[in-house]
Amino acid sequence: MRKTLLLTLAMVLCASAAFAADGAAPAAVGPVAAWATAMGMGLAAGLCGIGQGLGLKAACEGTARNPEAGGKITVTFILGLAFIESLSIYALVVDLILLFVKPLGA
Amino acid sequence: MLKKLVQKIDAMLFRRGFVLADARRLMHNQILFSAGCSVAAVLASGFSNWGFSFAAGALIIGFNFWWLSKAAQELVRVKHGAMFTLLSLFYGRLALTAVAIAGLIVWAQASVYGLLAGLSTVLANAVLWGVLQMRHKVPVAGDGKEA
Repeated sequence: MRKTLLLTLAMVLCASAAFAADGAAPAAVGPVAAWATAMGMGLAAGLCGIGQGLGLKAACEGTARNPEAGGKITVTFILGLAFIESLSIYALVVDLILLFVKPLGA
Repeated sequence: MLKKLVQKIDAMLFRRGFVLADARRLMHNQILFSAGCSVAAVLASGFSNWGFSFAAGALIIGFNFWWLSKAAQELVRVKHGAMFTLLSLFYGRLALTAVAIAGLIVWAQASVYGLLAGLSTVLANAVLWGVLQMRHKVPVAGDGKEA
């Protein structure tokens, strides 16, 4: 069931991009860029959320096993979160560039 | 003078909930590094759009990092609902950052490259911290509250 849904979604997305690419090239860039930003931001936010969750899980487990090392683990955890969050912010900036600066044309 | 400034920032951070010495050190490094780089960028670019965009990016990521590190210190001790809190905070921060960056790019016509460079100050700070930690490697012991 899940596979069918994913396949249908992929086909719908590919079809819209293909139809958009069929028309006049400059006019098609806008909707394709909008799709790309939406998918890019969704992927970035979702995967970064999963990464942060995994980091928190590991930090909690580490602190529970060895409370003495809690301070060091927390600092490493903060650094990990900062790196992950930077990735999502970079994705956000790239998406905003695609949407508003329009390097691919109007 | 720098030492006094660092002590003042440290005291202010402690009052605001940064109980771990290493987290405080990381945060005051970020404050000093981003402030220094922003002033240098504004002066070096001759008060141009690039310099102000850099400063704005550094300010946004500084606030983000402040919020993140303050929350992270609490989260490792929370027994129930830590994951939900972490994700809510992450998406909340991301939404606020999105609004701020969109405003800067769309309405304030900020330089995208300046903004990106400013947003990278936290990465540079983290990498510097990692390199310094590797150079002065000490056995992992203690809860980080010492010093």
